[in-house]
Amino acid sequence: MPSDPRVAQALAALAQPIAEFRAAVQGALAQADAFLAAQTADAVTQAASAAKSLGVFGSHLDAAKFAAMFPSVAKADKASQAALTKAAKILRSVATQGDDMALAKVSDGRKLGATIDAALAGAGQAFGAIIITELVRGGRYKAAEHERLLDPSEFRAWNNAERRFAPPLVVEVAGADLHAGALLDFADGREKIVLVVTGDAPPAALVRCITPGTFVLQTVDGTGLDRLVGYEGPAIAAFLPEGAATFMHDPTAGKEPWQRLTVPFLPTTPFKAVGGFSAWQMEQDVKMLADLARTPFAVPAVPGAKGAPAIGAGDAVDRIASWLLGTSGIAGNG
Amino acid sequence: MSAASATAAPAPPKVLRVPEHTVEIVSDSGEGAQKCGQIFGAVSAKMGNGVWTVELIPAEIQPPPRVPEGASGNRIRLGEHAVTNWGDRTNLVIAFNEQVLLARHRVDSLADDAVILIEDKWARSEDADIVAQWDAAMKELSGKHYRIIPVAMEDQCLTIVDNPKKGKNMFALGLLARVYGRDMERIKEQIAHAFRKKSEEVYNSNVALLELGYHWAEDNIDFRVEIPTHAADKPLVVMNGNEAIGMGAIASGMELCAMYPITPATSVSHYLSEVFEKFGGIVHQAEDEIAACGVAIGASYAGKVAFTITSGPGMALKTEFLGLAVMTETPLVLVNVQRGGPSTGLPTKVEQSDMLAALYGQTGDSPHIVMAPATIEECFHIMITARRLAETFRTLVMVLTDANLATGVSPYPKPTLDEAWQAAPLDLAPVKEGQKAYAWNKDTGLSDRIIPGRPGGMFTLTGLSHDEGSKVAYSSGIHQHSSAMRSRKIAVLQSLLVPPTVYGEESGDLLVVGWGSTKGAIEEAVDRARKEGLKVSSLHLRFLSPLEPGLKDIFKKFKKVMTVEINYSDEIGDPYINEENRRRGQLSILLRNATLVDVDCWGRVPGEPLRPMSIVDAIRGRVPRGGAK
Repeated sequence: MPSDPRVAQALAALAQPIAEFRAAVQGALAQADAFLAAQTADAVTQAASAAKSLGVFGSHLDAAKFAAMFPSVAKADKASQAALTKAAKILRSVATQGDDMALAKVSDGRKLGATIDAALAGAGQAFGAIIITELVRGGRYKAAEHERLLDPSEFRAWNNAERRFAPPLVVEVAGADLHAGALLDFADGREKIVLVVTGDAPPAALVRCITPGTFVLQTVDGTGLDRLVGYEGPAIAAFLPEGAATFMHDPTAGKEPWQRLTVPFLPTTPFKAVGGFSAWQMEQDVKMLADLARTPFAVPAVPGAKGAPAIGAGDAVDRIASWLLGTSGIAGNG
Repeated sequence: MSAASATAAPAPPKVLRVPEHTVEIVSDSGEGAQKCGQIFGAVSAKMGNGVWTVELIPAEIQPPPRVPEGASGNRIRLGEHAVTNWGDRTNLVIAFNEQVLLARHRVDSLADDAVILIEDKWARSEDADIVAQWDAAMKELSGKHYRIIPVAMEDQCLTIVDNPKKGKNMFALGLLARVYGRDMERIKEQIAHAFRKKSEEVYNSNVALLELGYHWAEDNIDFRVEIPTHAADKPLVVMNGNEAIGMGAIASGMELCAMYPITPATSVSHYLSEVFEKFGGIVHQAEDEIAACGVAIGASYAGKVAFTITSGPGMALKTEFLGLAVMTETPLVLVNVQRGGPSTGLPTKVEQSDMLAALYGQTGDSPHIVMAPATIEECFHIMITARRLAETFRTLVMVLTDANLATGVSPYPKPTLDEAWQAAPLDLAPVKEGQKAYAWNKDTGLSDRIIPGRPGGMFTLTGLSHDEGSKVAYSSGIHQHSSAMRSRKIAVLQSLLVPPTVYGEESGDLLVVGWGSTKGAIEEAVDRARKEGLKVSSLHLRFLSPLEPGLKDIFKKFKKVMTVEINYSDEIGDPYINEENRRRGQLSILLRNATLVDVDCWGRVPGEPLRPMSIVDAIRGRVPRGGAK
């Protein structure tokens, strides 16, 4: 059980996609088990199975004859049975992991990208096992062609369908290891990655992940995780310590970066170097975030309002209206 | 006939202990007699009585008030043990006016010594015509030994509500609750359920009227009826046949019910529309019967499990599409809740007249499966088997129920749901190289179904005669072969059926053969006839196409075989009718054809379920004492 409460918070937010992936694995496992059991079932067991499927009214049929004429599964050769047995073992191991299936931790000496790759490779193996299950059940398994499907499969080898059905991942990482560039390899399909960052961390590292189709979130309290889960594309989030920039890049919010980006909090210099991240680099990240969020027109301060509005806050139409009022010189007169 | 006025000083009521009793509540349409009967039946079942209820439904939606033809209500047969049919005659009637009572009297529904609790305000009407009608009715009723107890129902109800028409049924329910010792708390639960969409005020006033009726009976009715109850050894559910069909469809994993409203089938969709979506299903009300069938075929072709539900006239409209399902070998389940015909016939009344139309009503040669549940419980379970067979044999499966099963309510053991009842997930993998759309096994006619979207599985779907690859082909050889393949499947199914079980001795003077909802009445009649010393047995068929195997061997062991059906047949002895021109009962025609046995028939179309005593009379006519020759 992870000690950091933010991990539990992230897992709770990702409960739905985790459950969906687990259901797919469990469904395939049930089918694999049933198929394997049927391979060795005697006539009595097969008749009982047929009787069940025909229901109570089916007592008017001879279940043994029915089972003989319509076997519940086709006979599989030894190679197919062996492959399916192995696939079932992989599926069972994933199914019994619980939430650990969606957890990873960047250990000392390992990189963020490699950690995620390794964690998702297990899921990739499960996808292979699901495919093997279907191939064997459909009588289409060919060892020479399909055996490799049961090897661990890294994200980059996944097909589009698998990427859309990718399991989410919560990764614990030290701030010094928060190399955002490594995350971009996984920004595809519907992959959801939430980083739980410990210790000092660069304040706006995830700004480097912002691309038009990727949901990117930096949060210090979990705000925005629900939006991340609802997004139908790839999403990357980081749970950062207090003092880091908080922002949300929601691709559904508009065409322009400033429409998609909301920045409730932007830290100010000076920054202190963390690991391999220099203070200058951090300053550039923050500046980039501010630039992306900046509207192409000035947002005037409303007289009497407490503080300046957050960058990117508010509806774009409001901001344009505010700008027009500001340029016309009538703002605040009413 | 004797008339007893209500008295204020009651003596302890006389307790009548009986193994069974039959009650009717009759009113003008819209006065709530049906709801009263439904609640009374449901509570009786929950208390451990055997129950069979039948709705008495007028032919018109809103008939004029105070006419015999408008009688609406419910008949509830209660028993110490399981009750399988509506019985013979009614022992106690609550009537809201004398005209609806006359309707029941005239169809010989009431026992000679029936007790009648009747609203008597009509006798005191200011309208001389109404008083005259009342007097005439009492005169007509006086030919029997009924005990008539006048009850000032509306006057009583006016002490609680302004409009006694809305609530008199609850007063009547209170009377029944007292007379039959029903559990008032259970009744209140049922009332709460029945009025769950209404305000608390409505519930409270109904309960007040219920209690008023109960106490009035306590003070004024000098007898009670006790029917022993037995706690069921298994949990029971109480429902009518249409609800059971709907639940069975859900349990079988069906995902689409496409229909167009038609009596008496519509309530299946009413039920499903409330619950189906919770289970991933959809009820689609199409623009007409034909479209409903087309939608179901389309959904089924696309891989969903679909069914359509209708009654006789609707099945006639669907005819062309049913042929399409057979020709394209698209799995489809059609439920026909039969009513009287031909044409629009008797929309609210039971009949078993669609059998031959179901079997042979399609154009061309159109082999398919036809099944019929015999009980409300079987209405549930048949849907699981129907779906399985439709998919396994890639064909149309017709399920024939009727208005008796559709609206009758009876308890049955709560089904233990099984995941195996549901369809397996679709295999959307690429089809095997070279696989054809109709790769018929030459012995069985069976072929694998290709679901649209499977790589390599594209083919032209057509209702035209086609070859294995679904290519349109008019050559005589191909049509001969494809016809044989479609037909062969039915023979294959017959090879998998088990011979039916004879009820009673396996040989004798007469074997009564039935199908559908008549099972309970036939078996009760056979029991009575056997008690009279007649060597009679019965056989009830669930499969009509193919017929269950071994019938000829079974028939050989009886001197006579006779079908009992709720469809019309000529009687020998009627003018012009002889053995050669006699139009026989539909099952009888089918059995004669299949077995070459001289199967006799006895059929009636009274617009109501058959009564056991009528069947006993028919049996006596075929097997006089001393045995059949």
